[in-house]
Amino acid sequence: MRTITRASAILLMALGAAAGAAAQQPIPEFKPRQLIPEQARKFIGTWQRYPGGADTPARGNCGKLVDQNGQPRRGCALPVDQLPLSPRAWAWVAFADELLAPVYECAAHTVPTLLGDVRPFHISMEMDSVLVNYEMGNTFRRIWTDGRGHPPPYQLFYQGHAIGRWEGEQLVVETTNFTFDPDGMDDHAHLATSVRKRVIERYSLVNPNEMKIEITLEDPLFLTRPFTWSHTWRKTTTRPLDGWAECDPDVTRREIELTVKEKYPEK
Amino acid sequence: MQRGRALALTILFVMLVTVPAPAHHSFTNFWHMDRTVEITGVVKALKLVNPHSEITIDVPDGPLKGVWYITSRATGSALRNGGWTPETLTVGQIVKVEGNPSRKEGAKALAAGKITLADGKVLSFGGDAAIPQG
Repeated sequence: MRTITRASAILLMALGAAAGAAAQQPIPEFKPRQLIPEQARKFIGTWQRYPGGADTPARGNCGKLVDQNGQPRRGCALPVDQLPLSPRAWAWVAFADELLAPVYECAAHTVPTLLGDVRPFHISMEMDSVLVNYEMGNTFRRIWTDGRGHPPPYQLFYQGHAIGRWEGEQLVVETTNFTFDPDGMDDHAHLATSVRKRVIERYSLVNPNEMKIEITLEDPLFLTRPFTWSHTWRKTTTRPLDGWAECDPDVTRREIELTVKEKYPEK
Repeated sequence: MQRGRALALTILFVMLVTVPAPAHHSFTNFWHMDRTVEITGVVKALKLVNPHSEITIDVPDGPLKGVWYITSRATGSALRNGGWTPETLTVGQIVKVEGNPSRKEGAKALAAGKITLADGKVLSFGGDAAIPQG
């Protein structure tokens, strides 16, 4: 018994000495912001589309597309009239039924539609990623900046898998591994995208308060070639992101069923 | 006088903080924005949701008799910022609604607009200077 007590005392002394030695070593100062590149920090903040506002031409045009009510489509998220749509895309346009669009089931928007919306978004940074919070639908995107690659092509995600890298002062984001998306190219024109969709976003500052986003969309199934366009956003300190009230699919579906003529009334 | 000044400040504040933005679809595509229909009925429900809120109204008699669905011309978020709460309208309350009719023939639906209460008080359900369309 005495032997055990003596051994315990020796052990405690040894541990205490070790702890004391550790305490004497200088603890390196933790500076997480140092891990976020200097140029990256300039992008942090809330960005407002410029120009913006109701019926803004910045939201893009819908080309000559007509909806099920016989009206010209309006307010598309990208310049539809310039899109190099493939025959498969035109076949989708002929087939697609507005009443089946996922947005009316409160499904979130994806890029590039998210990027074509005129509501503001907020950029924040973590050590391994860039976080973008879009007011539209209170949607979050995480863009990994820790050097990882994309997962295998059979791993699919509704918002895709986004990785970012810095090319000088420019943030380059590549998003792949999307699921098939009936509104994946545009939510107003209801242009679909396939699992081969690839979106490249290039964020660059024109000045400290103005940002240009150049977007390149690739999808060999629905486009005959990659398509690139851009728009401008301005940093705002007076327009915080609005709290997005919950979406109710019953209400949303009812609105659409009461306003849009049926495409397939025989069903 | 003070109440008038407060109201003016409130309207100004709402105009400043509410930025118009296109909806998840174009209103013109789904609603006859150049026509106005007026109905008077009993409130059955109010849902303050996104992207658009909804009032259900029962019109008890007349040529427009039936259950009508009123879609807000602004997002639910914008309505809340503009002062709307789930208690702004109560079930059983009589209201007059002015709104734009649906492009789908025969549909009992309006995009509103202007809500007038029995005491004459007028509420914006979006689509004007107080709560812009979106």
